[in-house]
Amino acid sequence: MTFLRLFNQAILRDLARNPARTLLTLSGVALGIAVVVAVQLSNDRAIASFSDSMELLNGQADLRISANGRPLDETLMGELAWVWDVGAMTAILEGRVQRIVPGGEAVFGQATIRLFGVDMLSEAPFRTYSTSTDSGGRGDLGLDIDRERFIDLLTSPDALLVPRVLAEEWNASEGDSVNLLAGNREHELSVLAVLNPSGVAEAFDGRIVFMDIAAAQRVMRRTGEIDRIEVVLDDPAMADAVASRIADQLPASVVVDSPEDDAGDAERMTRAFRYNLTALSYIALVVGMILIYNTLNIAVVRRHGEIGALRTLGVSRRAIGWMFLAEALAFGVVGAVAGIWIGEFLARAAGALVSRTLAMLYTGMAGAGSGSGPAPGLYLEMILLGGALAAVSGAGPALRATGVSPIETIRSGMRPRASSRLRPLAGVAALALGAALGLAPAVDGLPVFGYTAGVAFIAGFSLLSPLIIRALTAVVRPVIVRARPVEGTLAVETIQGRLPRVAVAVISLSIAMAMLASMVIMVASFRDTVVVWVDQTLRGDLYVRPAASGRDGANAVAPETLAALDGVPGIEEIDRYRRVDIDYNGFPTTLGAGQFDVVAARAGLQFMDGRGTAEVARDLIGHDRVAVSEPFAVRHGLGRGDSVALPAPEGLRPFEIAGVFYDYSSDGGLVVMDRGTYLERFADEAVSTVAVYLEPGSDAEAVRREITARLDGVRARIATNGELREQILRVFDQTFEVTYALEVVALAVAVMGIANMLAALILERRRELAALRFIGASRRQIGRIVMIESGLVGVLGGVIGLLLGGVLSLLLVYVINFQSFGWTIQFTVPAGFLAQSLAMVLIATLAAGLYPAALALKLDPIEGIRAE
Amino acid sequence: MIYPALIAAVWAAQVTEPVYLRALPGYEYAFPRDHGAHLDYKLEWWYYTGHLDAEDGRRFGYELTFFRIGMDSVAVNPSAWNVRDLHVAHFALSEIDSGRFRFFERVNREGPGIARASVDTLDVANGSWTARLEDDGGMRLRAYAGGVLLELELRATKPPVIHGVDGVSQKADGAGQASHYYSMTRMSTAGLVSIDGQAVAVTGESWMDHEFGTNQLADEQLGWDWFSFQLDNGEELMLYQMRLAGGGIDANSSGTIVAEDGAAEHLTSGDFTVESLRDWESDATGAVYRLDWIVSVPDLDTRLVVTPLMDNQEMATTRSAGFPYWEGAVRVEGTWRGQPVRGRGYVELTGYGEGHRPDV
Repeated sequence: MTFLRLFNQAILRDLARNPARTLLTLSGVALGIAVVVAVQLSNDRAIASFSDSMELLNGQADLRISANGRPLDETLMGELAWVWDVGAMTAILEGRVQRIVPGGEAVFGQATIRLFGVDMLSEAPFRTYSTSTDSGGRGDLGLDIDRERFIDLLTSPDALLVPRVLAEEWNASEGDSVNLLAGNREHELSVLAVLNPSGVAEAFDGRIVFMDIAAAQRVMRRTGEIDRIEVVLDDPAMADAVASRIADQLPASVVVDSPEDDAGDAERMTRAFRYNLTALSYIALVVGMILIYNTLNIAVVRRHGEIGALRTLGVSRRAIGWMFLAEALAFGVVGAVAGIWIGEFLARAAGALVSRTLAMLYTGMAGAGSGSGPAPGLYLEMILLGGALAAVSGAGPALRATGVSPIETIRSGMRPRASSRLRPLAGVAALALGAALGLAPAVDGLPVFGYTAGVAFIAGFSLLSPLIIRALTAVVRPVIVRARPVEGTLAVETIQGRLPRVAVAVISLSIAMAMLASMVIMVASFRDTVVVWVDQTLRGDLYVRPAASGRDGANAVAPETLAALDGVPGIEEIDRYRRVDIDYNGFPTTLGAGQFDVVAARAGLQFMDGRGTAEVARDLIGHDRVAVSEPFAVRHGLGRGDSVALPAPEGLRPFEIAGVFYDYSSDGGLVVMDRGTYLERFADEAVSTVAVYLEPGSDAEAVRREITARLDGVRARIATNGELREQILRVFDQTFEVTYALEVVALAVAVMGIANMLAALILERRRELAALRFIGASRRQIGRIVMIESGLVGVLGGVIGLLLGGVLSLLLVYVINFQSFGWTIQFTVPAGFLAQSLAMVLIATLAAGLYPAALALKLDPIEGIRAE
Repeated sequence: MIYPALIAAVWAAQVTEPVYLRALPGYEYAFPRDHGAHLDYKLEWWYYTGHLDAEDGRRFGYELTFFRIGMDSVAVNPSAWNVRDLHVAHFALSEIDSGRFRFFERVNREGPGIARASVDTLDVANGSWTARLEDDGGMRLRAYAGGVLLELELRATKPPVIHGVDGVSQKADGAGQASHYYSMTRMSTAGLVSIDGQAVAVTGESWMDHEFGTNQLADEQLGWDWFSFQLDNGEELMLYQMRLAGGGIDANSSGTIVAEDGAAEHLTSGDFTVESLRDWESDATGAVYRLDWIVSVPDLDTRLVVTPLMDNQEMATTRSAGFPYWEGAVRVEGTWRGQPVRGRGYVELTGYGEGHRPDV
């Protein structure tokens, strides 16, 4: 008999005979792979979308001149006139705007739109634009638009180019006016042309508008400022030489770099986030692996006799082993192929979530990036992964099948194998290993050992689970037996009698449950920590910001707004806070400056060494000293007394770290100094946010109305303490949507496993159940037995999952999160939420029991007994 | 003289309707002030052409031109990027020996130091291309693009020559359909030309035109032919003919003869004839130009045969001027006031080819 024939007769036919179970296993594997694929694709697309957008935005530029987060003085253009000899040069002014109804307010959570201000006369070498209504277009200007409108674009102070996607969303066509909030003002601008989705108009999924730089300066109120200068070289090989000549000529604070670094930035910024998401996605795959193991194990056990018969017919042990391994591989590969398709589908849904989260946290971009299909490489990768993991999970059962002797053909049913004594020992060893790995430091900023520790803990619990199940069953047995003496006893006996196989189902459920529980605990701990932190730091009664401001903090509160705050009755004190984005050692970092005399008396940062804000404030005020956030200190390995070099206008200037404080506003890191020091060293009087402290007994709403009334033509966003707090927590919650979505899928895979396992048990006990019916058990009783079994598996899986989850949550909170993001989180256990999750798992397993129960009810007692 | 077609669009699209002065009789010139920009007029250019002889015997013709086109004289936006004027520049080098013609263009706004045109003296720039009047009275030109570097110092051998009548060079019948137009007709030139890093010292003679005005041309005018000659007898001749759509020459066409001592003599359209002899079709634009000319001034017993030093000297510009034009170095041979004469010059041809009419 050839191997193929053997495989066909012994394996494929069997699979075909049990379509439901085959399908369940396949779906489990497919879903596991699907989750991995979905996360991978979403991650890739989010990053690709960002880097593609940056690439489109940077166009053909070879060099970029900027001032590390601060605006550039536009007169540098004149000083660099020699650059015209080696290429083309242009200036960029960027901003963020929001569309509003005339006179309206920006909606919280609505993505801001990039405003890209360019010298439309100089665009041709850099970027191309294509308009919808091309009348006598002139590509050589970079914009195929007729001359009249081109002149309009250059000279009218309110002309806007809008990508078609946005124009459609706004329901605006050429000539229409749209109202945009930009910085501190509302502007009525006019759509000069709608851009085709090509070239730069595709950046950020078209959520970008373009203006000539003159008009952009007016709208942004940034006369005299530009954000960067771009250069296209006639000979790109000269980039380094030109860059160093430019750098030599300009102040040290000016950075000359290549736009190619942008994609790297996005990648670095979001690395920890994406790494953690990927690691999580593999959990679903682990559950899928257990499913394969489960199915094969059942098949081997169930078909003991058949295997024995094959052996007597002369089939070698080796062939038997390969046969089952091939089955595992088939599951893996077919599951992987299906998983890729499902994953692609999921990615479309998850992609939006992932990229929205990334946008909120890091890049400030909007849009998921419609993206292309999975790369051929991904197919191969996933099929190899599916095959490899399937082979690993199938190895055990296959090995077991080789152990069946020809003699066993005579016996029907299975011979219970002696459970290895080594198993509990191995389990304890795995737990010890996990604990040790948990103490290991991060690798290159990633919690590699932390996740390895997680795997070790899962392995440990899996190996120990038969022991735990036996103990737990012993505990619950009296309760069940008291409730349902007959059915309960039978069900509990079944569980106890078939422990190895039941254990597999319980393990897969408990792993999924553990993941959910640990994530719930971690998020709840994190959230509680943030709430406490917000309470301690956000003490202002009102917060005043520009009406539309992006993450970049380039927008400053209008002088008119600051003036309006003067003398408003009820205001006791204000704290002018400035934040700018800088680059510190290749990491985007926030530089903040607040009035520490006010902060010390009012707000209070929580310093890690336990000192009060007032004490640290004394060190800060009047000195070149800064306080840094915990993530900053962790990432750069710095502490109190160390020195950080910050990009001041005349070059890098050292500042001494006076303290490290807890901060959860961003994992990019925060460096703050006193406003006095900032004004002196950075010569920047702009204010990004004003915290307003009221006299006791003043009404925040009344003061807000008074401030608003004093704003004449200027627009500001004034939030009460409560509103700001709510916004912060809303952002926090949205951040974890992706995580929850992944958990739910992992749980679904596990529940499938339970249905699978229970169905196998029923089929195996066909004769036993038939005998029960034969001796007078009612159909109802049979159904009840199966449901009790399901429930018991659910309870066991749930409880073990909670235990494992508790351990994993410690890992997540103290190791993985800390190593990834540098956040110290206070551990809290959300008992209510966990109880709900447990109840949900129970319901899900009971639901999973319905299919096997139905199967059991269909058994014909006569036929079942005939075999005996 | 050249009229970038963008100004046509400027007329059509004017939002704030700026009020520009028109070129009217009685304008009083004062130098070096009038070498500078005249922002009250819509269109202005500084226009250099010349013949250069290199140390190694090679010959070059060059053109370096700076245009200023008024766009928005009533700016509401305080931004330095506000496009009050459009600054256009053309740079061309004719390598006579190899027949290779290279041209480059720049279109910019003044911006924060991208282009400029001083109102006090000659100091115009576009990117890194510059033309400046130095303290010692020399004019310094510099342009670099695509591996071609031109660095020249020009010294006037004659005072500025004011064309036309009463300070006005009339282009069409209406009042103000004219420009203020003067030339430095012979400037001894020295400097260097560098091609792809190979620099060579050059000497030669240049011609400068500076012209400013507002709304000069009439609808029925199709384009123009313009001639400037530097003769070996020390005299110069400038002529322009406005070609009419129905064929024929506008009566406002005119010219100037500059004597050896710098004295100018005005020629009206009745004083001279220009006959063009053959077609030359541009590969780049498909336009068919008329080359090889016979210029006659019958009353002065003058007949000049004018021959391009090479045929392809077409500025196939697309970005700045909405139309291509032919601007080329020529050689001159014939009779001048009854005496045999030789010379060099530059010829400019506009409005040839379908859709190439400079509709200004």
